[in-house]
Amino acid sequence: MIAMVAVLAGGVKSAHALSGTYNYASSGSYFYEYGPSQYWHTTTNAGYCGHISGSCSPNSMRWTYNNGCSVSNQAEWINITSAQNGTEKVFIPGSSATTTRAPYTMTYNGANTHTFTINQNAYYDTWILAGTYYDIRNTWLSDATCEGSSTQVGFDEIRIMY
Amino acid sequence: MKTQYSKKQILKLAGFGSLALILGLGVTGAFASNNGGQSVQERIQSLLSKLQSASQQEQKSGQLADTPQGKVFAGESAQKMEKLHNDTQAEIDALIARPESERQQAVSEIKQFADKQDLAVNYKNTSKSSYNANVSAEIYTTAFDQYEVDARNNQIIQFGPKPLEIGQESKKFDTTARYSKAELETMARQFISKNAPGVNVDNLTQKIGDKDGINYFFRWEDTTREIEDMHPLIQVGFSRGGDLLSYTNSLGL
Repeated sequence: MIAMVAVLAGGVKSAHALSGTYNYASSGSYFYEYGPSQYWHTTTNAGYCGHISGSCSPNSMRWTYNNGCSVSNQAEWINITSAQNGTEKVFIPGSSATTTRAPYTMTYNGANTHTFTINQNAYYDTWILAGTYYDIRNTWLSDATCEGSSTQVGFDEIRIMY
Repeated sequence: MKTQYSKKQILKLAGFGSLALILGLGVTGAFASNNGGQSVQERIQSLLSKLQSASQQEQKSGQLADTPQGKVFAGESAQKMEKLHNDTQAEIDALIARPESERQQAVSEIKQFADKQDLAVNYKNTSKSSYNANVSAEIYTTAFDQYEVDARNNQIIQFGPKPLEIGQESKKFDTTARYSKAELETMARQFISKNAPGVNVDNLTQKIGDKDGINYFFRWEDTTREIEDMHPLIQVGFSRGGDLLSYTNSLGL
């Protein structure tokens, strides 16, 4: 049962115990983009807030083309720090997400890192489980997919469930 | 230098969206039970406190490296803390998971779904369903795939390629232009009839999507209700060569 739905626009990080489901969007004060701006693209009416949920924003997602094996463009979701177990999921949009090796990095347990790839091309507007970790910190996604052909790396919602 | 593939102009975001917070009642019944005078929740907290202390100590005296992700564990410290973290998670999971004997039914369902009785299925952990935080879901993996199973009834909620380590060989799909969209839809309907026989997709709202005209996704939503901001859905993805890509069924949640 959902007790409340709210949209927060603030940028405060806190360390208190969290409860429930937290969605981090691909814009706003919890999301940072890096790399040449001309390589960042937006697809409107796409992604979790733009195509699935009617009560969050923005109604768009961000994407960039892959860049071989080196990083040009990447983004960081600033997750609220909380010393407890959380389960992280990533939303794979139906649009502009065709890479078969989207490379994610997340930090957890104070200073551990976990890197993994997700086949975005095999999913469509669904959540994919990344794993359960203690003290999840931030999450990164880059364009260094190491693919030979032109594919799109989709940047949309990150969800952490406590 | 990165190649610019598209001339589409960058649209400026409105900038007001950031973090959607959904508060729910997401604790499984297992947390309420007692053992030796200590509740499961207290035992979990005790395990996590030990992990936190070890991590803090390692951050003071262990090996760390400056990376784009900040100061992180390196070398033996990284391995040691990863192992301690994983061991702790396994201990916690043992406190909240169903007995292995009960999970065998889920394994059987997965083998039937994959139509492969000798499939090696590994139980990973118990967490919350991606589509309903109030439902306990079990995660199982095979060589290339990941299954999310409803722990209440062993029904498969989701199937698809599992997250892989960087550089790990990924599953290959047949992308030959063998089937038309209409033929793939027929296959999707047949797939649902076999794997979710109680679902009548004609009573649901259909949405069809594709990725570059190579991978097709046939989705039916129950638009009369929402669970955590999403309409419950059943979706089947096929490559145009006829390979199953992914499957989601949140109608029963």
